[in-house]
Formats: sequence, C-alpha cells, structure tokens
Amino acid sequence: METNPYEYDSYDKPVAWIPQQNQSHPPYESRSDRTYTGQQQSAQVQNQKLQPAAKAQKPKAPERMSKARALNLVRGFKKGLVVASILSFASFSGLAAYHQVITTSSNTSSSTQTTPASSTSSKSSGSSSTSSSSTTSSSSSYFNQQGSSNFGSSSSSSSGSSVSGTSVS
Amino acid sequence: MSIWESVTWNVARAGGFTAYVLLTLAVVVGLALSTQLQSPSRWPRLINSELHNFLTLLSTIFMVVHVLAVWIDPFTRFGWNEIFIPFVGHYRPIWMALGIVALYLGIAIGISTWLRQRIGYTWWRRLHVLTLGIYVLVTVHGIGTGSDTQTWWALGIYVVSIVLVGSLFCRRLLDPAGKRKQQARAQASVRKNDAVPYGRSRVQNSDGVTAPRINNQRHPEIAHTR
Repeated sequence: METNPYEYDSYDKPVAWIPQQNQSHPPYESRSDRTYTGQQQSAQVQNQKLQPAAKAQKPKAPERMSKARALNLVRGFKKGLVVASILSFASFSGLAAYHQVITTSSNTSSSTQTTPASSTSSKSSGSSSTSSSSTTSSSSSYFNQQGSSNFGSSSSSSSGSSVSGTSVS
Repeated sequence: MSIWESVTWNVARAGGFTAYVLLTLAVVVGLALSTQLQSPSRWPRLINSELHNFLTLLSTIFMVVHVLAVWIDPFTRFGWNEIFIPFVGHYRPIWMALGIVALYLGIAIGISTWLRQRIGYTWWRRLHVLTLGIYVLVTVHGIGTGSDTQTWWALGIYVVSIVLVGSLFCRRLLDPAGKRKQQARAQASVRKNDAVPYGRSRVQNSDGVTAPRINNQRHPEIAHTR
C-alpha cells in the first residue's frame, strides 16, 4: 500500500540517526569488524577535533516547533474559529435581515407612491399588467426577497425595477 | 410575513453563507497542505492538517443548519424529497440540484476519509480531488440560488473566495506533483541515510573513512547476534 509522503510523521517517529560519538556500544567491536575499529576511533577523534570549527561555519538551522506547542496553537485557533464562525453567522443573519427590511421598506414606499398613479408606473416599468395594488406588491416583494421569483411567474417581478428597488435573484 | 418565517429564512441564508466561508477556508488550508505551504519552525504541517479537519467539521455543522432551516421554513415548504433528490424541487431545480449533488459528494469524501486505512492512501487521494468539484458546485449553487447574490457583501464573499481558491489552485497546478514527489523522495532518502548509523556514505562524507559495507549494516545488532 502506498503511504502518504506528506504525512506529518516526524513528530511521532523517534530520531533514527544517533551521532557516532554518543553511542555507548558500537557494533564494530564484534568479530572481524575489529580490524578497522581503530581507524574508526581515530576518525572519531579527528571528527571531535573538527566539530567546533564546523559548528562555527554552519549557519544554525531554525528550531522545529515542538508538538506540544503546535497543539497549543491549534487549540487556540480552534477556539477562535468557533467564536469567529458564530459571530459571522450572527453578522450574516443581521445583513440578511437588514437587506430584507430595506427591500420591504423600499417596496412599501414605492407602492404607496405608485398606488395613485398605477398607469404611469406601469408604463415606466414597461410591464403589461397595470395591477399594482399595495397588497400584491407587498406579497411579491416577499416573494422576491425569498428569491422565489421562479415559483409561478418567470420574469414579472424582475421587470418591475421601479417597484422592487433592489432586484433579488 | 410572520416572525417565524423571517427567522427561518434568515437562518437558512446565514447558515449557507457561514458554511460557504468555512468551506472556502477548509479548501484553502487543504490546498496549503497540498502545496506544502508550511514552515517547520513557525507553521508546521500539523497545524494545517488539524485546521483543515476542524474547518471541514464546522462547515458541515453550518451546512446542516442551512438544510434544516430551509426544510423548516414555512414559506418555501420544501419536502424531504425536494431537499435530498436532485431536480425534484419546484424552486430553481437546477441550481438546487448542484447543492444537493455537492452534499452527496461531501458525504462520500467524508466516508472515504473515515475509511482511509482500508481503501488506502491512493484511492483516498483520488477521491479527495473531488473536493474542488464540491467547491465549484457549491459556489454555483450559491450564486444561482441565493437571494442575496446581488448584494455587495455577498458578491464580496464570492469574489474573495474565488480569488483565494483560484490563486492557490493555480499555484498547485504550476507546482507539479512530480516535483513534489521528487522532493518527498529526496527527503525520505535523507532520512534513510540518517537511519544508517555507520553507513558507508555517512562515513565517507563526514569522516573520510572508507569502511567496507558489511551484511546487515543497517541493523548492526542483527549481525552482532549472528
């Protein structure tokens, strides 16, 4: 089975390589490997001598963030996300309600303005029907508000731009 | 219009927008995971992975709120079949169907993530590509069905979301998978070399000592016991 190469497994796996000088029981001390154990030891001594210089030359790599610290950060982000999502839900509710109120009020005001002269308004809107009483316009405004202009009539509400004010898809 | 109708309709709209914003963030973090936008010292991969899971969970919760509010809403009078069967609804059936299909795709991907150990990483990854399809379907569903699409704030949400996801997706396409795999292989080989305590390459590189490779050198304790 193919494994996930992008998995963050480095936190859970132990460090594989141990520096040679820190190992207490090197395996070379057995059998035929003893032939070059001396070379190895001399190399280790050389390596120990050269280490300070190498450390001074190499730029220090940035420290890995510990798993505990990362999880702490994640916990904080999760709390913030919950709060932010609830706040955004409330603000979206407010925006939707505000949009609804604005649309309804504009419809009401326009209907009260157009009720005495329904014929002129129908001409300006270009619609064929001249029935724009206050009751029908208010109900159609809610229909528009709900976005349900396609329930019955297809385009009668969208054509009346002077009535709906802000047209809602 | 009664207060109850207003409440259910507003909750449905707000729930939909909140779910959409959270889905956008989940997709963005998922693309950041895929393109390896991370830093071991400041922003490790663990944070991206955990945030991706949590954002998806939050988005699912608000999506459930959205569906329930639409179902409860007394004005629209949607039945269960109209909510769960595509093209059955009386209200904008095509745009509604896109949302319903996205819901089913999301359920499928959730199940695939749950069964990832069984189906394997390859198939899980192939199925996970469908999340971009979910994002597209949900965006079109929101633009086509939503009654707030023409408001400035809804347009702003859609534009910001599309720009964010689109830019990261372009970055993902420009950074091909083969290159990332090569990087991953290189990292894996470095780890393997590090795993050999007295390997030839390590001895040659660091110490300049050329020792002959012995049997089971990667596990010297086995050679020792033999």
